[in-house]
Amino acid sequence: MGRHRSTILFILLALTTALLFFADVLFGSVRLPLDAIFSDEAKYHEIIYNFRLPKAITAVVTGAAISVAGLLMQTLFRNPLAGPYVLGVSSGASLGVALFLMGGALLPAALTESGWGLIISATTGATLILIVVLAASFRIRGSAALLIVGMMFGQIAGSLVTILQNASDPDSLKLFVVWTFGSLSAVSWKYMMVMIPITVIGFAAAFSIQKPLNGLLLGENYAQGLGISVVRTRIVIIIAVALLAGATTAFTGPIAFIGIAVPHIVRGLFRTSDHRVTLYGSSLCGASLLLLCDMATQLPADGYVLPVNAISSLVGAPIILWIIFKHR
Amino acid sequence: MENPILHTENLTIGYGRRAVQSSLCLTAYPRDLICLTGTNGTGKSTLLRTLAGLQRPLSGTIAIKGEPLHGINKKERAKLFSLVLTERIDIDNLTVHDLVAYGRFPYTGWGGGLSCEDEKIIDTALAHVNLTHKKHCMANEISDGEKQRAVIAKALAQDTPIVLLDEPTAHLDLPNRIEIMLLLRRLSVNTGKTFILSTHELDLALQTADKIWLFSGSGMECGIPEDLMLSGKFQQAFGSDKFLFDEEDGHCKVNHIMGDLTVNVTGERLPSVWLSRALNRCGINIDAGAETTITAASPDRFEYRGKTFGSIESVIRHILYNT
Repeated sequence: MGRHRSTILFILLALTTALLFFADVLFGSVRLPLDAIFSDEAKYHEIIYNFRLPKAITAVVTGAAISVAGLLMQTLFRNPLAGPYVLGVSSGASLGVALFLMGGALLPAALTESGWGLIISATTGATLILIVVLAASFRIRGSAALLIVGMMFGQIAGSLVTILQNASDPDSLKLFVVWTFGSLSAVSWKYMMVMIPITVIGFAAAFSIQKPLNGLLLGENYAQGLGISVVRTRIVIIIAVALLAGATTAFTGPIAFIGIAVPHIVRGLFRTSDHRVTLYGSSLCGASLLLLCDMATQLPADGYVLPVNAISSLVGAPIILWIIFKHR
Repeated sequence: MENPILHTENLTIGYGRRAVQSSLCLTAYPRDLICLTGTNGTGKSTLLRTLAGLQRPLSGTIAIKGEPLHGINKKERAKLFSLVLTERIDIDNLTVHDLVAYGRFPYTGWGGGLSCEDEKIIDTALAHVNLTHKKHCMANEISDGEKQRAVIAKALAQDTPIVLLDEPTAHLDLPNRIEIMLLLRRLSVNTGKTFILSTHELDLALQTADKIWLFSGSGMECGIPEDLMLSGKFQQAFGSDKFLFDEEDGHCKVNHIMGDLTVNVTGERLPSVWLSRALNRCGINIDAGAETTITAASPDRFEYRGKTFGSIESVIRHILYNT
């Protein structure tokens, strides 16, 4: 009964994602006709292959990555309000990037150029915040309290970034400010070659622990009683979240609320908390939602593009409010 | 005599450097229903957690079927001990079947898929706890008593020789507490497993357990309930002048004599019994040698100092407020 429903839902979600992907390629400040995808005309070719296609791929990868990261964090903290953005992981990644871009003038140019420097600094920043918040979560009770702790660490990271901005020279400041505007379209093919392998490792880590993740839902003691190595599972979760959230944030900038909202949508749709379903569901649903958000950013005419963060907050924040009221 | 399933040698349990109980030599046999009782902080949960492998023993050894548990890995341990803990299981959209299926975790492969054999074991476990009809219900939507039975079914599905339960009757109402204890009693006979549970339900434990492991601040006593009662170990363990155990039936009686008033109760049996209880409750001592006598002639006729009363309430009111 449940299995049948899941299969149909998966097929529908996959079709939706594919459809939105093509729509995202065609839809933008310059509307393209449907046959442009297969045309040889130089102007279409330029727009599609160097701009629209990388942007759509980035939306798919980023949406899936932060949604899976959000799902992993909700299981790790056993808290429905956990997510990479609200618990400060994205801020940690930003701090890493800020330190790198504004303090890293001495680093070899090769590192800055290829994007590896960005990704390493963002992932390191994300890991640090994640470990600190996890340590804090052992000492406090209640989902709301953890949320506040995460926000505080996010604030601290944000303040440090502001201080860095004031202290840095105009050239590197400009580099950083451009990064903070970061959008899905900022990811070129060159950056993609860095972002995709790292996120693939993150996904592989996440999917490799689907059974122990289910065990963690029972709580630490029950999980241990079932023979699950809780510590090892936690470490894999942290690595996976850091890679997924860090690698995508490094190039697109923080994207709010998708990571926290998507796992709830998926659990509601599939009516299960089983990670063997929700991991795949979150990947597809996250990709679709971010593609949708990206198209919404193009809505104003005249080539003006809204920040993707504004749209994702508009979608995600009400979902968080709904979760809070539901758990009251 | 059957070989013991569980044996501990000089086991010391506790946290860090603080030993809660030391030199425990415990033995459990298949089909035993063992109740751990004792006042708070004497180590009941600590012993269960230590046996379950959630914390390390400070010293000593634990042996299963004569084999020491030294260096056994988590997965193998999960095939020896299953747990029912006090923490709530609160997972959205989890069916009773899926909850019980967690018991198959140590046996399933990387993906956690269930074989036909696993499904059969889950069905048997559900049948044992009479929850077959709730198999497809959501675990968060059934009653607390049913949920506790589902968690016990999860432990059964784990197919371990020993089931450890930490206060399985806490938070349940009286009918459910009795039902859970009788269920465990029945399961220990039907499945041959050993059930070790901590409980504060003395009356229930005394009436259902095969063995009592009685914890007190000064050590631990093991034995069948009747021996422990007869030797006065129970009274020692709970040592308090606030209550006493009735020597005849083992029930716990609150002891709060307040004044120096002592009366003698005579008359018909049942009215006398309940009149005595009412007097006890009000802190009045009862002694056959007392000068003052209350006669319970019938359920609606009580005589005291030449006056006649129609109910226990009116006698008590007269004694408490008119003398």
